[in-house]
Amino acid sequence: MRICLTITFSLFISAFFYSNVLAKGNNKKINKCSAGEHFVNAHYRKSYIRTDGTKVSSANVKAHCQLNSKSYLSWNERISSNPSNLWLRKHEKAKKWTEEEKNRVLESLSDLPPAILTGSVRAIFRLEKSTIYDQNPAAGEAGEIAFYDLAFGPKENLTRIFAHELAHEVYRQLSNVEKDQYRKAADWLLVKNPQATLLYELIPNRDSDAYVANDGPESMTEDFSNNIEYFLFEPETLQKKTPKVYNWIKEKFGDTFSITKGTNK
Amino acid sequence: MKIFYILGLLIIFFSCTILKQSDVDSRKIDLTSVSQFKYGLSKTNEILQLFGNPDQIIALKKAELTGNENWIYSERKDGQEFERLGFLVDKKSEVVVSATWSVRIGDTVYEKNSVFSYFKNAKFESKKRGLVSQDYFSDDLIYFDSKLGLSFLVNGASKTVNSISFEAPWKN
Repeated sequence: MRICLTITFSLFISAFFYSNVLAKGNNKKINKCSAGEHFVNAHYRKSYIRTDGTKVSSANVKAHCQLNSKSYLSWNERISSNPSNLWLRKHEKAKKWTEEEKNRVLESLSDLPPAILTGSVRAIFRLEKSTIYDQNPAAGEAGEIAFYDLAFGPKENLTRIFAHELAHEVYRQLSNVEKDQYRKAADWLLVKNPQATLLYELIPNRDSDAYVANDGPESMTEDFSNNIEYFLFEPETLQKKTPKVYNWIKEKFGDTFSITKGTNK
Repeated sequence: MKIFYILGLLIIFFSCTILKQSDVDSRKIDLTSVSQFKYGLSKTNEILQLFGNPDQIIALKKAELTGNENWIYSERKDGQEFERLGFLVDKKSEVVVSATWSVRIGDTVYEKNSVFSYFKNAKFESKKRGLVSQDYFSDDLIYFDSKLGLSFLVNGASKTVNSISFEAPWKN
């Protein structure tokens, strides 16, 4: 009995040792990627939804060299492990990025139109859970975006979540004239809401069914982000609900403002 | 005879349109005038006296604000017409509830410090706009003097003034 247990234990240890050595060896073997490529460590990838909505099954991804997307170099360095000192919700617990998560975020970027990849986003980091609203997959503050656990759930479209958060930053960077043009197109009135005086929010004046999401009337930036998100992922819905906004986005960002469907490598 | 009548009507119609357009072209909505109303007390006839008829009157749809109207005055800058001033008006009582003046590049109050100089008597406090939706914290800054009912919004990114608002004094 004792011999049996010893043999089983030894086999288990050897298997564990060799699998690690082999994996490292595998990583090492191809760790020299050519220019214009980056190295992706071997990792287990959970099932997820692609940018174009198709489901991708879980798989063991082998270590490999991957071709850099146009945005790779500038965005890879913005993925950081901890929130910056400017992040207001300091009590939200930081989390280490997994290889899979980091890779998926970078892949998402390559599917988004350049106009939304604003250079003013300084940092993207990983937090456990939102303390404001526990159903948030992500959140943003000035120039910073945090992804929560929920963003990497099997039913979430990470690119869509990312687009929404990036749109907040796009809105933040608009000039007074541009904000004013959007305000008119989206039927927000030039008058501060007296019921929320210290929020300095203008008054939304669309019919209640003319918003793509229920939280649209909460603020112009949320309305803008929802509309950009829908323009990219459900343009028909946006065009039906609020055609003036659809036309404004189309005119402002041009015909090339769309996602690169199904190119998630 | 009929043709002359139609032509006459057309001439009157087009001159009205041109007149309306030139109103916007030549109009300058003076910030000092806007700041002189007693918001919550002043009546719409005072607006009409100072600025004439609004370019647009919009009925508010928001449930809590129905019965109010948004009176809009436009200006033309760099060849483009834009909404310069919006009043919130209680239709029934004709009381002017509040006003928001849109700031453009080139205005004397485009920079934050110039607003402080413009409203010398105001004692502004400031706060970040903060949570504006469940997933976004805005870094826009709100400056306000609750005793004067005066506030203005500074864009977080550009640090320039977006708009200035007037309303009845409120308890802070």
